[in-house]
Amino acid sequence: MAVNGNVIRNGAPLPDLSHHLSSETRSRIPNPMKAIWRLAQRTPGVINMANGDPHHTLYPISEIAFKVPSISHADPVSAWRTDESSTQTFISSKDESCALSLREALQYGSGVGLPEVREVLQQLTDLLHAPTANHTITMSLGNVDAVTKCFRLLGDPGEAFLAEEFSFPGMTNAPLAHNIRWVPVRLDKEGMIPEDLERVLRDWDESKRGKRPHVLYTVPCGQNPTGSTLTLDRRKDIYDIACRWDLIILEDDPYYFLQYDKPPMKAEDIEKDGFAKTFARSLVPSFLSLDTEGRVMRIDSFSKIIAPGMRLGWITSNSAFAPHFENLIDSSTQHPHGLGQAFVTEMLAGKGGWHMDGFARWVKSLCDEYQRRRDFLAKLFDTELGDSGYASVEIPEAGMFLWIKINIDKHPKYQKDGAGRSNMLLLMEELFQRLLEAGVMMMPGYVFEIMDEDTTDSRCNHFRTTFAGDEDTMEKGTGVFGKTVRTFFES
Amino acid sequence: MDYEKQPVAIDLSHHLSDVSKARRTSPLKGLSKYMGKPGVITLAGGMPNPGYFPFSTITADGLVPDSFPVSTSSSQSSSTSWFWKIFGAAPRKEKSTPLTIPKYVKDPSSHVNLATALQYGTATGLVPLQKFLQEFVTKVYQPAYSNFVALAHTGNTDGWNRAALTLFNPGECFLTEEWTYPSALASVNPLGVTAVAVGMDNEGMSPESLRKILAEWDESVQGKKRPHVMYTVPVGQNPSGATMGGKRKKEIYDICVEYDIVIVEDDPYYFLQEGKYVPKLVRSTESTPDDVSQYIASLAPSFLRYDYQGRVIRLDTFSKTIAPGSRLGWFTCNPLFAERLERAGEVSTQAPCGFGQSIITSLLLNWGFEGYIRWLRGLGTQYRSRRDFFIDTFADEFDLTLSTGEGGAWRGCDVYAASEKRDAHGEGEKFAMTARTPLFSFVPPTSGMFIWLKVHFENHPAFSPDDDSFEMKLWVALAEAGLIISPGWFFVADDENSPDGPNDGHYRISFSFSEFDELKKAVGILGKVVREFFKEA
Repeated sequence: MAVNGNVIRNGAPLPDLSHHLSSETRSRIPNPMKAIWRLAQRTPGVINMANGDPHHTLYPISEIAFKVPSISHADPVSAWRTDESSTQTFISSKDESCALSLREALQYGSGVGLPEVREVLQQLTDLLHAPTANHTITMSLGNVDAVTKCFRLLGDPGEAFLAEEFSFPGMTNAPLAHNIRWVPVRLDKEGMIPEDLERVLRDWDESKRGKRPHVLYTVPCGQNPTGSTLTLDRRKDIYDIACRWDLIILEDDPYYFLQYDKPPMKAEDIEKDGFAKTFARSLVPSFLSLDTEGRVMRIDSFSKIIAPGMRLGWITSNSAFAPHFENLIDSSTQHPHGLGQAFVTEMLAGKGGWHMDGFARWVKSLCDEYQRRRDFLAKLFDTELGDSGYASVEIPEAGMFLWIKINIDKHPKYQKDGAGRSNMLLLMEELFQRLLEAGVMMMPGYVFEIMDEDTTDSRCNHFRTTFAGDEDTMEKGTGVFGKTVRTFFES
Repeated sequence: MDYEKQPVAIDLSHHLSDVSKARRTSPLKGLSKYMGKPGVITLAGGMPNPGYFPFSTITADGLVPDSFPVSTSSSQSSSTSWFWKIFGAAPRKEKSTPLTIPKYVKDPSSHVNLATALQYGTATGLVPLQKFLQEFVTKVYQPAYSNFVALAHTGNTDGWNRAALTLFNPGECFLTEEWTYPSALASVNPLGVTAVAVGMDNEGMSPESLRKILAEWDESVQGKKRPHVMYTVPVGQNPSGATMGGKRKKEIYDICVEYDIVIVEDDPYYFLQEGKYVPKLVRSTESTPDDVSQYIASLAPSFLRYDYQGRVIRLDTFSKTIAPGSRLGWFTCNPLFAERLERAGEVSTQAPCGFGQSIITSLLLNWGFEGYIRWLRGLGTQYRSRRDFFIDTFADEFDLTLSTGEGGAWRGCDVYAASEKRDAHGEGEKFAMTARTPLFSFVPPTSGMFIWLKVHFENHPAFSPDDDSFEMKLWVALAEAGLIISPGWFFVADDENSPDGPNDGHYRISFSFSEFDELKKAVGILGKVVREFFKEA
């Protein structure tokens, strides 16, 4: 397949990556009803009587008003937390003028999303990541949906994909049912280790293990569950490996906006370039921004920064992949709901909207708030167990999770046999049960573990805890946790 | 109805696909049972605190349930006068009811609130919505077994796609009407799943044809195992517009019991049951019964009414009754299928959008069950009026001759043959020889949004039975003249056993969307283009 028109902005052609598509994707034909629909959209003045869309007068909703925080406050999130009275209103209407009319939003739409919302998200993506290769925005129903679509687009049964050795099973479970298995890559506090990625690919014996993995799934910021964030150097190394070994990188980045300990933004930069751009420069560059060959599919979501129940996100991919997403969407989930698209368009481009800068001010303020909560939880942990030697944490630079390591080898009942096998998992399970009995629930690390293909030994002596909950919960929970861990080691 | 006396669903787990059987419960969701435990502090999930949701309220203007009349107006002096009152240049002021969705409420299980609706949710939908749907299904569809489950999805395309992943292994086939909804085929073809075409008549799928296919199925000849799934659009069949009555459904259901077939009932047009088309001159005012139970009894029943084993997966959607952009609908099925469909939802669409769920649920709770029924009656009447208007316009543009259909999908139907109007356009004399030759025929739909048209290419001067390019040629001519309709080949369930006669071209025309003046204009374009097309030698 040629990559017609798919050029880097400086004029050089992108490599043809169509061999990454799954056989399901290749055999998928466009949904003919949608093909006709697109034709009608492109032809002004035409009467479209091909599709079964109801007339807009028959919709029982004429206007929706979203009452949201006023963005004029210097720290809008803390202000909102204490008082929800200072508001502004985004209005989506069927009959009045607005950025995305409800007539359109409540109608059947394009599988990839409505043009208005894709346009504003294209602008946002350009502002944040300035991708060099030609990219296209496809709307999704949030990251689980987006990731599952990427898996279906790329994976054939029997293949193996690469992921961080601890990964969120809500994501990694999806392709298992389609007989795609996972191969772990080691990570540390700086995220996935490039040398280990290289090792896995180099040592891969296709005669024994089947086709070498061609898809790498990664959560580069505030990785779920370990909280690690990939450094820029590592991102460059990993991208370089991806080019040499011909990998597609699925960059699942819901915590991108929640990166902590960033240098303060300078007033003169904000003055000169605007808030959004200045904020974006303070963040670690994404894989998308490094992508010269079009091999990154970036997955963004509003779940962590606006609200998860919106079920709305977007995929930024090489334009050559975009029509395949569209065909898959037209025949599966259909397009995302119109109300979320209406909201996002009014927020970023509407008359009474926040616009790019206001949106960035909200997420920056939210990021500061989560940073305070992270510090709060880390301090609680330190107070409870800091000097005990029973457990330790790395302070995460992004995201919502603290990854607690239990020094299980210090437990009196810990044993290791001659072959290196230990009773770690049993002890961890016992601790989990004890915590539950004491009234605190943390996520046991082993639920995130992707085993090496030649072993069933767990390497996981961790718990994932979150600072997304409220202070009171963290305080009580950590108290019980500290006490229970001490008792577990000392009795 | 006394559900304690109803049977429970039988075990149909042998219908599950390998993919569905292999789907694991997300381990996190498995742990969620601990999270509900009283007194357990959870630091496990990654749910944002709702305090961070940047919304205090969402308000919406909903229309009142009686926004539209429940009777069609009778023979007006001008066929269109009252339409212009409603849809004309001066927009009618809509009567609306304000809906307010607060962020927090005292009792989240019965009141819609943003803190719940905008949080991560289970794939089953908001609790108040589930309750409403369960009541709605019980009262309207009246399933013949007791433990049915209503489970939210994001519209019937998602519903069918999830059902397909749950039921089909690659290489299997399924039963469907010989003319069928193309998106249903497009969803499953990449899974290597194909359609087996069942013959049709004026009530849709034919039980005789169904039985014949199943009885004569020979795996060694067909190379595939006998189908175990049926996909059907029984009301406002897409594209034919046929409506399957209760007696027919019972017959088909019994065959499905005999051959152990799961029925996927895709029923978006259920409340657009328009009844028989009566020509303008002899039409009288039509009204649906005011009494709710009488109104429900006046509708063709769902397959669920006969489903004493739980082998129906019914797909409902708010797309046609509220708005397509809401992407909200629901399954009604047995608990075992519901659980697997929920797992399939967890790795794809998850919960339907919180905005849509909360606004639509608020609207439904504001209206109440009876209010929603009133809305549906008004809506059905609107579509009936649209259909009548559209077909009346054909009668203005062409000479229509009524006959009863004899063969194929039109057996037993009212068939209108359209020929050139005798003295239309001052050309009547010149073309007197051909004026009575039917150019096309159609059957007015009894439900739904579409007219299914058959063009008689055998009457074209350049016709040759070997040339099958006429359908697309006429389609292109129409598109170039500014009218886009759907060509019939889209709707062929099985290319190798096409119901399309070599002489026919089919088109599906929707009357749901356009303004009334556009409907009239469209018929004008159709008339002009078809007449010219038939003159080209």
